[in-house]
Amino acid sequence: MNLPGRRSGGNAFDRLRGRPGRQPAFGIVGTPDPIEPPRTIDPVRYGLPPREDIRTDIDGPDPTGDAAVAAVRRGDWRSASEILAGSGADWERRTRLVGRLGAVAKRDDAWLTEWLASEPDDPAAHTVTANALAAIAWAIRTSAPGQNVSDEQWRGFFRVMRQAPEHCRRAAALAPSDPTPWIELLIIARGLQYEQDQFRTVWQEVRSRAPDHLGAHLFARIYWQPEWFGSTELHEAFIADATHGRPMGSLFTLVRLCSVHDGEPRSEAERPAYYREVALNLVIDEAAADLAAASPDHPYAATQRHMLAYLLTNAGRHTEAYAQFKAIGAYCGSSPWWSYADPLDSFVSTRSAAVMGWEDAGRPTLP
Amino acid sequence: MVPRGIATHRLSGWCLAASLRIGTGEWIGTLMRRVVHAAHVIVLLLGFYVLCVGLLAALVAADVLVTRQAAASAALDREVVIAYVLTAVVAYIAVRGIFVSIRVRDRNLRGIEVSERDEPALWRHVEFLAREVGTRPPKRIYLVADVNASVWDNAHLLGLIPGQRRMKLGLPLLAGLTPAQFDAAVSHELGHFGNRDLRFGALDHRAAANVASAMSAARGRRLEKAGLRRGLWIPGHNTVEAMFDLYGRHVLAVTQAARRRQEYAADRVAADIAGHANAASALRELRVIATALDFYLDKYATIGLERKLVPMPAELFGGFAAMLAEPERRKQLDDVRRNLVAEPPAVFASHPPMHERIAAIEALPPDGRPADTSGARAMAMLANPSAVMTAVGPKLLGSDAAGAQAVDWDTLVTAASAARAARRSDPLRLVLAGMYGTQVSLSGLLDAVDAGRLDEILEELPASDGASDAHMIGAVAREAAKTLMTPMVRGWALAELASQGRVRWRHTWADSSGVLAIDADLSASLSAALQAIVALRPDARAMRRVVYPAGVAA
Repeated sequence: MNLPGRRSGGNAFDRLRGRPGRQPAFGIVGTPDPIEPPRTIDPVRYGLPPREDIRTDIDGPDPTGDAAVAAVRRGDWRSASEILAGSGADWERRTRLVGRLGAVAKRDDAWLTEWLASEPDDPAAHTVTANALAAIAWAIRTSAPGQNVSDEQWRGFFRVMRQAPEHCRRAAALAPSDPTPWIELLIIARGLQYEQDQFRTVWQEVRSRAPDHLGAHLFARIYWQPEWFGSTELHEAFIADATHGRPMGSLFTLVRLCSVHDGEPRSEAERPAYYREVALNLVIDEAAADLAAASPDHPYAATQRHMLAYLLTNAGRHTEAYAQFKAIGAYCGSSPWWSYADPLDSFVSTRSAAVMGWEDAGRPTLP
Repeated sequence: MVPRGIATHRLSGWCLAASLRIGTGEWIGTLMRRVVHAAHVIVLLLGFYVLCVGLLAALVAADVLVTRQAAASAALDREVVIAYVLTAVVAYIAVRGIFVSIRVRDRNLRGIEVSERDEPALWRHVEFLAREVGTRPPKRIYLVADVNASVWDNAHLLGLIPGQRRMKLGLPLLAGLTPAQFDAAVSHELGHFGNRDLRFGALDHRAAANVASAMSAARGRRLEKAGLRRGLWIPGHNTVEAMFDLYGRHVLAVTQAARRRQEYAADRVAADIAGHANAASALRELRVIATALDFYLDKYATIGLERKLVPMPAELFGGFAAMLAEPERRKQLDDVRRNLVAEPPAVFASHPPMHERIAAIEALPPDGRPADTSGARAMAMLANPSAVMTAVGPKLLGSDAAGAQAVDWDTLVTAASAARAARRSDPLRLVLAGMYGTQVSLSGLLDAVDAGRLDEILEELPASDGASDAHMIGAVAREAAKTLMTPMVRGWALAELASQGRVRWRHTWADSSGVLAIDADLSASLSAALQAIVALRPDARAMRRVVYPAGVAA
């Protein structure tokens, strides 16, 4: 659930030093043929859920998260608190739950205020508050490129974001073994433009508590991108370090996949060449094998699928892509779709492209 | 010659009339042309008087007619009154046009006269320049508050008989021009009188000045000032005004070319005496000084006027000179100087566009004389600058400053900045006034926050541009509104603290809003109190302690 893209206000490219938001990669949606109507498919005929059934808030089934969200929407923060406590030391699940609750607070945070007032020493309340503040801050800033963000929006972004670290520190003090407050701070650090050494300090706190936390690696990678506060070398070093020695099925190949997607050329014309590169396709192969080896209930299995579905379609590997879309089902709340102006639209059009590619190839057997 | 009206628009530069230099070779042909032209102008000038007298005569005739009719039938009383009023109005305007316009009065000079005894160095220098130019020096010198210099003589018989010559020098020029640039400005003015070979040149100027004054008199500024015209319809006024206007425009058009030639000739004189580089830079500097003075008046001298506070008399001009000397401002004026754009062409302006005059000077063959970059100012010539500045300074503000209290700069900037801080909170005050049904003080806001009504206030607060997007809902909209509200609360609190004398603003020439002088502890607790009000759980207690340490007075 908590993918980097989400934290950056729904767009992994909404850099402070600004690069315009990307448009969907496909001519089908972006530039319909003015004479011939664009080809479309009826998803149901291909065993795919129709557009209106697709959930945009999550990347795959998450009944526990749904229950927690439903509870706080009723104002029942106690149930949510119990559900969160139930995640125990499964830090990946805890991080995702925190993210889902924080997202609810953007619309209505009365329950959170009440929670914090009633349980001022509950680390979970502080962690969720930190996440909510970051979510609110990004919503004020919007995901527009930096140069299109107004002074007023910047002021609001920083004013709200600056309140978040205090809650992280409070939570960390109350629950010293819990990495989630530090992971929240990791995300907030990018928004608050932490210096590299400052960021490394936070990262050490995360690593010492949860060295195998994939979500934390996904967040931290963004900080090291040259467009944010790192450089090409630091970014590459981070990925190499993150993926080094990871067993198949750990899904750490996702770190590399995200960077491949981020490296996508802005110009649509240059994309086919980019996605047909052999090295890139080897990364895709490795990630697909990683996913095949992973447990189906790995918290990042769905994210890996979304990413693969997108990259495979663009690489012209429509049959494999179609298979991933079938496995994804009725969800699109994930990277890479969040990088685009209309996530649902880009999901559906990419899916159509995969299916039509599969048709054009003579309907080969799915892997 | 023309203290008001179009001929001495502040930016138009040095004005004034007189003669032209021409080569002896073209003497006869030029003379013929000049005579014909002069005759044309004289006819126009006489025509102006004829127009006025004719108008009056026609009205008097009408009056007589109406009065006779009225004697026959008693019902015409109203028409008689109207006719008399009409006659009186036209008579007033015409008489003003004929007589009033042609004299410069001391009271129209925004400055003081300085005698040879007052300012010997200035007098000697002006006399020296007059000798260089080859004309007689002025009999009187005035130092005025305008960005302008001019020379005029109250000539008689359409300028054919010279009268007493007078010169006015703008104090802003003395404060802003180098000695060499100042020489250029003065030489230009004297240059208008430099050649006696063709006095007819004065005619063009005189005719234009005369008519311009008549036009402005006809527009009835004096009447307006006396409150007579506001909302009061004077019959026939528009017609008279239109007639004067039409005639005046014709005269200006006929004389324009000659007047502009005179300006170019006077620029040549200035360039010969002060050097090309200084003459050109002096012209440029006029607009820079005018810009600086406008800025100074707007951002410094008049900031307290709403509260009837003005700078000390000595500081009014001293401040302008001090602002010009401030390094930050010097840099800004350098930018202004570099980015001077061509002024929009003014119809019938007495002077050619400044950039064309500068181009004409710069097109002269090089004279090898360097620009004066000494950094000295012509002001240094004054024997008693502080007395002069004290006397002329108040004229900068005019009648608006009547009855105002003179205070030091810090007091002035504190009053203005506190008012600005208070204004920043206007949208918030409006919301609270709506909530309480009456204007409230800052403590009213704090009460509302304590009562848990901040969300209500935030909802009512008008959103800033771009904040009205669909994603601004719930907590996001609330937090965005808090961000918007934060500087308003700060402004309100600062205004309150200023009224208690606990914060002040220190005047500085680098920043017209001054520098907030606030105790470090107070500053820190104010910031913390501000953050507490807009925190996730709003809390106004800290702000109450900061702003009302002794409790709120009822």
